Amino acid sequence: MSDHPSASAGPGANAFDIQLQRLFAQTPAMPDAMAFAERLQRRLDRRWAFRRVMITSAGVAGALITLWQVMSAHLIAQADIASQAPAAQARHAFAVALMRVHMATNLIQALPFGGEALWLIAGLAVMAAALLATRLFETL
Amino acid sequence: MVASPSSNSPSRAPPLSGLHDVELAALAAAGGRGAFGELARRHGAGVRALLRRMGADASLADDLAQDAFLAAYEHIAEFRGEGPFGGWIKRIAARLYVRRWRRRAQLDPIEARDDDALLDGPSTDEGDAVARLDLDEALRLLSPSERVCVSLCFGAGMSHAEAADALKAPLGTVKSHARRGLEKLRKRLVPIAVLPVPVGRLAQ
Repeated sequence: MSDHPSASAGPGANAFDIQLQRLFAQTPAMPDAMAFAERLQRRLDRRWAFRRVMITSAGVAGALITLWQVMSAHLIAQADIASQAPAAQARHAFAVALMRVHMATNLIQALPFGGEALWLIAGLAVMAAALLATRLFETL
Repeated sequence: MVASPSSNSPSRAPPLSGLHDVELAALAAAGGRGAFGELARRHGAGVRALLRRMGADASLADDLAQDAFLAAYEHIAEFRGEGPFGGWIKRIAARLYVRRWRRRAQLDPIEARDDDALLDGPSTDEGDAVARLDLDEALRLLSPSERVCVSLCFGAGMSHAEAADALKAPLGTVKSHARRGLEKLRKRLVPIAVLPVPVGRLAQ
């Protein structure tokens, strides 16, 4: 038996098979054809808009991370300069930096959970956001 | 909003309605959502009709047709015009329907049944010719398995192997269902076998 559907019904079946294909190819008139196309167009536009928002968001996030890295590098450079400054200035800069670290540590310790939990929550939030974005994309 | 052909300046580009499917697909691949909208206008009804003929209700057929067009838009660059766009989008839609259908059903096991008994049904007298020409009515006489197999092979233009792959079913089972369904349809639609085949229609 051939793999072609037309060959499945034996000799003499081709004419009927072709007629059947022709019947399947005939498209009944659908009065809401324009509404269907417009709905599809809206979904395409929404997807495109969503994609643009996601790409823009990713770009902004990347820029912020880059900026943070640049600023961190600048701070390190400043600390390096301070270390070469007179001892009094260096001591002052070190004390200020130490105080900032101490305040940040106190803030984290003031939370009802530790620093690791904070990172865990942040990670889970990122995963949830990614899942939500995926679901939204699927829906759109 | 659907970009109507009149929204394009005639002096710069031909209206979308005057372009061939392959040209529209190329425009869509370059980001032209209006061109894809024109493809949806041309082939939307055909896809929806196929899904209904496969057994989907009107609402499900519309939803799956939408999903099929969205999937096609994502992969429009893969359409190179080697076959008609209508056939390509119908195969995508048919696979979507089959994937959904398989979640709640599967092909009936083939039993050694008397084919004549399968063909029992309403009369096929000459006076009933108009009714017999209605493919949609005739398809309702088929079992769900036969209906899906026949629709995949004759509506979506799949080979038996492609249909078996889509249905995740043995090739022999698909062939048997297609043959039984075809025999039932032949009995019901026999008057059309003597009609001439319009070559233009088949070329589509």
